[in-house]
Amino acid sequence: MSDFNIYVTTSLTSSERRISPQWDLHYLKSRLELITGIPPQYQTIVCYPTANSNDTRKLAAAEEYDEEKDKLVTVAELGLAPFSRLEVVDANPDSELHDLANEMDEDTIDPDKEFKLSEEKYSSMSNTVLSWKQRNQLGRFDPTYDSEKARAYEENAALAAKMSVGQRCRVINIAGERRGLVKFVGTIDVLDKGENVWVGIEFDEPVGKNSGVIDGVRIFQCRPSHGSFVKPKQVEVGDFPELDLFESDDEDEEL
Amino acid sequence: MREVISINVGQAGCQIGNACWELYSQEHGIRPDGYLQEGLDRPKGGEEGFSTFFSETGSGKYVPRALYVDLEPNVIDEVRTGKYKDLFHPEQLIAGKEDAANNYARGHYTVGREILDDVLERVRKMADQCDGLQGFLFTHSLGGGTGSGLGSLLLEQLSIDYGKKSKLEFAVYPAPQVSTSVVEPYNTVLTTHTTLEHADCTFMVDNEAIYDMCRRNLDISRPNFDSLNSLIAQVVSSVTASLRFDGSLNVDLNEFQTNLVPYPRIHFPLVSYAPVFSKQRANHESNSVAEITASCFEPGNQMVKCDPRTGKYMATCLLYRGDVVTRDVQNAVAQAKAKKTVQLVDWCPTGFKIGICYQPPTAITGSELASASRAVCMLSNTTAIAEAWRRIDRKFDLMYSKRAFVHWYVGEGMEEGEFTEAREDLAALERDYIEVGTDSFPEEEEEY
Repeated sequence: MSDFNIYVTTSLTSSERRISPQWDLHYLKSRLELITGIPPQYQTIVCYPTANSNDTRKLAAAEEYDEEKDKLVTVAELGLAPFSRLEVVDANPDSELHDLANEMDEDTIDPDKEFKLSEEKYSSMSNTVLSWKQRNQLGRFDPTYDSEKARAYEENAALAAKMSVGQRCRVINIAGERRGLVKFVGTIDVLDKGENVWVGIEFDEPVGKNSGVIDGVRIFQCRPSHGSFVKPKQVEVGDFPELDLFESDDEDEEL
Repeated sequence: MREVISINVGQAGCQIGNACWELYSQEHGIRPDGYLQEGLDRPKGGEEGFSTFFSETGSGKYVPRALYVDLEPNVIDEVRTGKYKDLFHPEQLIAGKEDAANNYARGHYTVGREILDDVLERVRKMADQCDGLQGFLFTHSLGGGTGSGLGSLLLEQLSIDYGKKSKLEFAVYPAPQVSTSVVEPYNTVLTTHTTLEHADCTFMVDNEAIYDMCRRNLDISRPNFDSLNSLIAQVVSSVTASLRFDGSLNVDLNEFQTNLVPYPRIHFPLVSYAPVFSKQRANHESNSVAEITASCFEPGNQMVKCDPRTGKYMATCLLYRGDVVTRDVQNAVAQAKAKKTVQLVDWCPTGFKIGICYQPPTAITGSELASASRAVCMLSNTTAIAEAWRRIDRKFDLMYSKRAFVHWYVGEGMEEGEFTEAREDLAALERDYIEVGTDSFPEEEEEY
């Protein structure tokens, strides 16, 4: 019998591996340690005949671990079929793998554990994109950057001048189309020190970021999660009545 | 002539190599024994392009300009005894006796060192047979021991021995959800650090993305390595097609770098491919140029899971093959550029580069992938791919904060300081991507 592939899974890992029928169980366990991080004496191995089946068969129990016995059993004798799955469970209650498995599942990382590169350190490195931009006067290091920025500001200001509170409007971006009412047009000190002109909108649906409040300062009155502040270029004012959500669903189905 | 030498390292690298050379052979009309298929008097696709990837012996046999390297004999033995055993010269297949045990340090320092001179010698022999070596194409995984450790060692050495020759990589990047081994995050961070200044362009492929594509588009309920690798081979083939076939608009290895990489460290373009359909579905899909181009902007067609809508594009190459006319391509590109979700970095030159190769894709016998009259592969250098680095860096941090399994590496003679040095370099890389994404103004998409 020649080598064949099986799946090896743990709470942390999943992979397709090649094994040899000539290996003994002890060697298999030592290979599994390098994949799973679980030492042989703590390995409880459960075999699932196919990758998705629910029938199980215990190939090895950690509490009955015996290195010498394992050396007398070959993989061929375990009766594994190609593409069956071995789930390796860590029987050591104090194993750091349990903590790791939990932590990897979480979306956030403990700030103490996260590696931090300080701005000073990054600025001091010579082969970075920052140093490249500085050397070649790119982006904000371009002498014309400020005047270009001013021009963009003026474009936005000109657009904003044509908008007024009370107008219907829509905003189209990657999230799709959202409609609402213009509630505010002007600069906002608490947002960007009054650098840009912003349009405050109360959307028809709760698809906004706030309720017209920025950093505790109320800019306009509106329902929670219905309000947002966007740049004038994003806003189109005109005859945009409220969208019927259910109507658009029907259209989708017909398509 | 502009020869390219392919170097496949480690299990994943060698198996992807197998899938690629099987496909290349079929595309060019070469039989598994290296001779031309019956009825052909010369390889398909034009002499010039073909010879970049194959050399010809005096007896009319064609041999891939490829090297297989693995620290353990199993996978290489399969090549030696497999269907394509006569295609390769025994000297092209190099296997050690003892594997890297998923450990970068074994691949890079201990076990890998022992095989290094042998490999470099074979590379030199192969390079000597070339008139004008263009560069190297690596396939390896970042998470395994041999692929990460020996792969990066070879890249370093080739930098020394072959200086300015291009070095491109296809690298299997760890899947976001599950690791293949418990130390995969370490291997990935260590190898990325080592190769960052040696590889000119790295195309990453994440097995989970390919896996999902096989399930969703090819109706394979439980994809295995063979299904994944044959899809990866189609992608690699699309990227290399312009080098292998005499076409109207060709791109060479250097051009990938020139067009896609504005700054050497930012060399990880996101790869997308379309169409991916099973044979059953093929009849229901029209696959116009516009459709396949639009598909490339769908997350489901990407080789790495990330969201390009949240990032900015520095450059994009669209490589078409098959029945494609320039006018359709121009229209499709114009439509793509008009998308609100495609935001370009505006403080450095960016662009859409088009490659067209008139040779249609070939479906491998036995593969689920339907044959298509045309296909497109999109390579886009987007800041969104930094997500991939954030994911793996975070996993690295969780493990390294416990010093979990660090002794496996130190035990192979690696200094612990290399962990922090590598991690710092990757933190700088993440920071580099943020720096690429800022200063584009006006940033009109902001919303508060």
